[in-house]
Amino acid sequence: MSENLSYHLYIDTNVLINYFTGQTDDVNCLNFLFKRTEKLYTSTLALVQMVTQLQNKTSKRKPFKKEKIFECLDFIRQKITILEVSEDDVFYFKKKTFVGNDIEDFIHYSISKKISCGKIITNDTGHFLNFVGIEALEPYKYLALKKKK
Amino acid sequence: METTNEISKKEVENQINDLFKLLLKKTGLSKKDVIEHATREFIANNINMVTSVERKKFRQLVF
Repeated sequence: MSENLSYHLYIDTNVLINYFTGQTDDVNCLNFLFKRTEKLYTSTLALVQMVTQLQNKTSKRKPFKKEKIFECLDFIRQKITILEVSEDDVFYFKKKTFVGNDIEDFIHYSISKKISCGKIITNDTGHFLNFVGIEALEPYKYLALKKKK
Repeated sequence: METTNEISKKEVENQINDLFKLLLKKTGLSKKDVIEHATREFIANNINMVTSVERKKFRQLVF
């Protein structure tokens, strides 16, 4: 068998947003991971997407103030390694056959491949179904599979 | 002849199965979740054994 790639985890945008907006499963999962030795990664793409979402209001919450968003970004920088999005990532579809509809998640996949992430923690696992080298898991599922109670 | 000290393979299998069911209940996962997880992990850990020619057969998958 080759190196176990599960050690590198990519955290998707929706998990970051849910963490800062207090969704229980996402908060529990990330707090659990912050205490572990798995290497956590996200990307500048995920951060920009997160900022866009947090600064907009939704039916359930007010928009985050800019100071609060800056705090969120600083917090992520302390806890998670942030990967850069390159032109090659955006044009990854030129190298690999793009099957599916979510171009944005295809770019996330390209970024995560660069550091051989074995898993992506996301609430949209369906978009990653056909990516063979990475397993997409919802936060609650990751916790249930990995947590020693 | 089987004695009480011997391990019954059938009984062990049953107990493993019962233990598995108990843990599924406690974690809220389904058997399908666990099988999918194990399958994905197995594939990811061994994917380097699949040649580029073989990969072409799996048109829906991104390697």
